[in-house]
Amino acid sequence: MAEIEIRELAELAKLARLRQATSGSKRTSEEVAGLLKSFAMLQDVNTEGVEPSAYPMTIAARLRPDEPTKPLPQDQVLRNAPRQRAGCFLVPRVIEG
Amino acid sequence: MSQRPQALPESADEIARAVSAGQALAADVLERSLQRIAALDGRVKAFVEVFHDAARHSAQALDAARAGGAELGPLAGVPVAIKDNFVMRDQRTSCGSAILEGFVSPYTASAVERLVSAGAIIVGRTNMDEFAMGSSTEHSCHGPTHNPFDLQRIPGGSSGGSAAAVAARMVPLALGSDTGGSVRQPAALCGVSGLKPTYGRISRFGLVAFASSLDTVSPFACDATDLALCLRVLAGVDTRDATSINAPVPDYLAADAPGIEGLRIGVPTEYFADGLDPEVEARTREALAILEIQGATLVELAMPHTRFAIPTYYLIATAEASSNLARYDGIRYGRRAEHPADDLNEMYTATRHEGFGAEVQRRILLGSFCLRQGYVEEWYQKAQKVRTLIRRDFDAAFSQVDLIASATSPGAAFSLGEKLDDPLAMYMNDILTTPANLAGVPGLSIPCGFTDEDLPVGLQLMGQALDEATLLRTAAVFQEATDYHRREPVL
Amino acid sequence: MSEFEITIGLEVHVQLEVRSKLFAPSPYASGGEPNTRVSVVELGLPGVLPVVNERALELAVRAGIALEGQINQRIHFDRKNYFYPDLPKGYQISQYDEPFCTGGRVPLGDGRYGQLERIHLEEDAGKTTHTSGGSLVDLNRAGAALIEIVGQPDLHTPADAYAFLTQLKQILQYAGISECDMEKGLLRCDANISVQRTGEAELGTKVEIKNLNSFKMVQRALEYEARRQTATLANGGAIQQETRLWNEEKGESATMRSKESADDYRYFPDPDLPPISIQPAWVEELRAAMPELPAARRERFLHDYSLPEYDTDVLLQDRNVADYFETCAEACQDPKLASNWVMTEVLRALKERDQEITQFQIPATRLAEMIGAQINGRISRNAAKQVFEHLLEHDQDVTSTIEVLGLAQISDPVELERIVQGIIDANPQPVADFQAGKQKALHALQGLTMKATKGQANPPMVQEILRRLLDSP
Ligand SMILES: [Mg+2]
Ligand SMILES: [Zn+2]
Repeated sequence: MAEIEIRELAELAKLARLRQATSGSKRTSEEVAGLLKSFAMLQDVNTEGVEPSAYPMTIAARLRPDEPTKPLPQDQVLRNAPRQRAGCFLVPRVIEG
Repeated sequence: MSQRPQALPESADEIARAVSAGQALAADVLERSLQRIAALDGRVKAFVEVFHDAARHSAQALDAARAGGAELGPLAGVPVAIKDNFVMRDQRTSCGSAILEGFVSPYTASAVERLVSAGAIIVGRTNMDEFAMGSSTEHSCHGPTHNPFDLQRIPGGSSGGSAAAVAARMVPLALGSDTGGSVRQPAALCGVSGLKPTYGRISRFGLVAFASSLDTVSPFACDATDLALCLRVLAGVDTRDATSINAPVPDYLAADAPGIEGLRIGVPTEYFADGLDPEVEARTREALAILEIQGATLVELAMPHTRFAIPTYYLIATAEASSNLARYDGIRYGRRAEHPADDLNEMYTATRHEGFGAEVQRRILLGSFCLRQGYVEEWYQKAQKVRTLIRRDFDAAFSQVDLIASATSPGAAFSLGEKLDDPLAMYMNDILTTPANLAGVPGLSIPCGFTDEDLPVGLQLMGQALDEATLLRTAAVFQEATDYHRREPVL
Repeated sequence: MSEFEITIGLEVHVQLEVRSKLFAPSPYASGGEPNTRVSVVELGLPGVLPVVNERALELAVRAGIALEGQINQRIHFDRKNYFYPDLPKGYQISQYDEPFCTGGRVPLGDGRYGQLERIHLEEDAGKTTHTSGGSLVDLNRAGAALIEIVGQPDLHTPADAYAFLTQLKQILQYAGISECDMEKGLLRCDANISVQRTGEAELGTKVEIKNLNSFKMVQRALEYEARRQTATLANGGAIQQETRLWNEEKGESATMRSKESADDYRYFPDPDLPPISIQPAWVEELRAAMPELPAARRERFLHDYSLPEYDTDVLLQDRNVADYFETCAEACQDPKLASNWVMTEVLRALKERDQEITQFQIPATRLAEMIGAQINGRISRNAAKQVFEHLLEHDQDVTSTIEVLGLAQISDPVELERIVQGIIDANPQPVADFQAGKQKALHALQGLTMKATKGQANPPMVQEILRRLLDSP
């Protein structure tokens, strides 16, 4: 079981944009697989007919009136940008495919 | 001009009263706090940054306002330390992570805004486990924080910096965040008081998210009185946080409040199971005996799903974290790694690989795993169902009792590096604290004694949703009867 | 019956007409300097939280009602996780398993319908512009309020897809949900198409087409894709599951990316947004307040106004034109005549002037007054056209225009009889011809009367009087 999961974790790393196939991450993968193994005890809990809780408690949703406020000035938006050009965030060229 | 008093007050409550009444100057209170930080923090390493100039400026402005006749707020002149996962306008926030290198926030967290409007002086930001993921404050890009009671030991975590700052009496109040025990556990290990309020009681806006359905803004202080004072300032609805609760904010320690006569305190068997350090158990049972003497009734009860809290918590917390931490991509802020030109994916991967520490990467992987197509039902949704069962345990308990009591942490502070290589052993530290986060109920930790090695032990009390008043009242009664909370570390 | 069957499904994103974004208070309108309509929330800064815009929710529910879907009582938002530079948080807040609306349908204009799978609310992404030196990210649009209307794969011709979109746009405009302007990006459409041998139970391999910037482009791209897939299959080839980009200039599409199996959005409920319960009473309130939709209006035009289908469809294409027509028809009490004027002269004038009906020079009530003058014979049809041309250029009332142009028709029977008697008296030859049975002679006399009155005599009345006077012994 743990073996299969390690291979899957390499795929996961790709999804999460983390490095794969380096020695350090192999250890990470093994540790994650180990944790999953110990967390698998949950599978034995009888949850038939139990609703999942995505929230800790029932909270009445509060909505916001459709009133625009002043946006951030452009220089504040770009203030922390590692790279910028022409008022935009600059990233490596996106190649579709 | 008011004359300078000989002795400066100690607690937040006393400071605020003295500053408001003109019997002390905020500037003097701050200087003493800064001196203490300067003298001790080289060894404790509680702070990541001290805002010397900004804090002095605020203190002087407050004193000037008072001299000009202005009414000051309930935290007038109180120096407060802020965990490094709250944003403050024009200040850095790092969350203990290299990935946020250089980040300066253009806005201020709601909780910090409330402190400042109440007259608090923000003295600096404190160390933490990276993105609040840890129980020892060792997982920080700034290095570990040391426990003031034993510098070779961890202060607990993830809010270890704030806990240590209060324990070393550098500040009377500090802000932390509690997702699975991150305030209660370091409070216990550092011998201070820490309160995790009801989920939604304090706005999370501006608190950097770790696990959104579990995160709570949580204060540290030396005693229940100061926690109550601070909670009253922090609590309340915020239009910028859809999960913040719109309920009245009471005076948590009203003078006419009753004692704890007749209060029913639940003692769940599952919280006193194997793995609890015998000394910790002994101190906890002694504390319960004290509460009994004060008039409370102890009620043995069962909370059968407690042993599933750790897997449930870690699956839910990491799933949410894997998504919450996707925004750290090196595009809009933070550190972008060197990468080959024209390779966007490599930019993402290099940035995140270099920027996140091993523990954070481990949790992102774990969390991404439980959300994957084909696995989400078996892992994430299963954990959510068990979360429902854990909530039901609390509902059942609170149909019989007013409070639930246990130890806060299964052991006292362990040595630096001791559990660094064993994630599961590290996660087990949270076994007694995670259930309250899963159920959203409030909990606090107060000092209840010491081990043979003079390490602090904490008592955890958990209450019903929005009933922080009963928690704080009980803590105050306990602290009136004991002086564990007054014991200062020798530094 | 043809050898192949085409199956088309449309996915339409529509930007709601709200003033601020879906989860953030910053204002949004298309265009503008890059990164000037952004708050800390859409910037995805550490610590920010989303809060739902109540007006966006209301418009979304109204769209669900207008499209006859079922409004669900409990809705929540989910996170759709993926990395892209214009997606600041690394996830899009959308709705996965509890959309606010399930089902629904869009009329195709001929009694048939295109069925909907669902409609959900979601936030828009920013915009990425690709340059040689790298890609530029502008977050102005990030967080704008969208609904995604997901059609079932039950359309079978590109023409039906065109009709679906036209009718959908009309309904959303009528219901005040969006202007649906494709040029401004307020409506965006992706099309899925598959081709299979007729009679085969399973659908063919699905191909998605993007970069469709008008409804006609959708139709053309689908026609191209249907031909391409049919030809491939007929030659024994196989269709690849892929996304293709339409190139309007070349009139063809090309592969953008083949479907990655690794797409895994790891959906889960957004813990920052508690579920919202939709009160049925509120939905009924919105339903009751819903403006009249095209289908109901069409019924009314066909039956109450007895208009032909053709007229009805032309008038309904633009809600404001239909409003104009109705005001005019009610005022002049002759819907067919009003429809003729609006469909021909008014729409022609608008086209020549490149104007919207809301900018039109002649108010509907004034046009009605002019039509009234035509009905009661004060002016002839030809004269009415002259009046119309004059009104296009001048802000003048109808009566004074008729006077200024000297177009008032002689419709006074006594006056007309006097004139006609004069013509009869002065022209014995045509009179004799007519009485000898030559019907044509009547036309000559009619022409002479019109000439004598400089065309202002009421022609039907002239004819009637001539017959009466000539027939009398
Ligand atoms: Mg879609
Ligand atoms: Zn969409």
